[in-house]
Amino acid sequence: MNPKEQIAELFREHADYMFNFAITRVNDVHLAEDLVQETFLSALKGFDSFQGMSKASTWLTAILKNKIIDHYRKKVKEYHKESMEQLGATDEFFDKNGTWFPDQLPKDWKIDYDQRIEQDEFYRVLQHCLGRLKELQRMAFVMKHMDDAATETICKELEITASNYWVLIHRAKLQLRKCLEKNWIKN
Amino acid sequence: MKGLIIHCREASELAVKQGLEPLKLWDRIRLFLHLSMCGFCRIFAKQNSFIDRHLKNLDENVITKMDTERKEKFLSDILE
Repeated sequence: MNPKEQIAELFREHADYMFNFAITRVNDVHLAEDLVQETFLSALKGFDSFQGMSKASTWLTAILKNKIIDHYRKKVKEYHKESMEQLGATDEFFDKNGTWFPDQLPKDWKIDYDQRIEQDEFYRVLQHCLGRLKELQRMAFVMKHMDDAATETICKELEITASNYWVLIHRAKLQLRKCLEKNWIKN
Repeated sequence: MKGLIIHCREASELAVKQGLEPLKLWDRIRLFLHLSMCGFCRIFAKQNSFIDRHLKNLDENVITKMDTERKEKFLSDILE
């Protein structure tokens, strides 16, 4: 097989995984498609340097991750239009004293919290709820929780301070939790 | 120095933080004290770690697939 055929083969095998990976992070179908496509084009260009150095999926995912970060870097100024006060505000959850508003009190989901959920429905809702976060929130969140990036790296890439970062993550988690409660735990 | 008693806003922030990096001793004590008194924040903290664990699995559960036509087009472009 020539490199083109090999890349096509890898594409058939990994395109869905890569697309799902991208859409979780960028929440935009066309952008995710473009990023996946660019990833395989870069992979084709750099094919000689790859040649079995690591698992193909690891190699491809690393390229895709870089493309996603590049995209964010370009957009970061735009995302900052929304002020940090808005992105980090927790006023809808807590009263002046810092106590939960009655309608915001976390409800027990009546599940075994130590168990691992396998249903697709759960992951669909989780992806949907991540999609509802603002870009800056989502990226800070995903870089930390899913890509294990260091806090300093995230702050640098997203041009935020460490205290803004925690405020952002806190609010993102409050929203995500509530969104899961509303859309996954229906009763 | 801040007191030992914190409210739900701060407790939930500390719970979120604790899932991601080690807390300072005083913050651990504050959080522990608050959680021992507040059932709602205990639920929050449990759900917080539940969510964190599952976020790690999200990529392995391919739930949104790429459009088939778009895939075919890419394949024919690259192979031509």
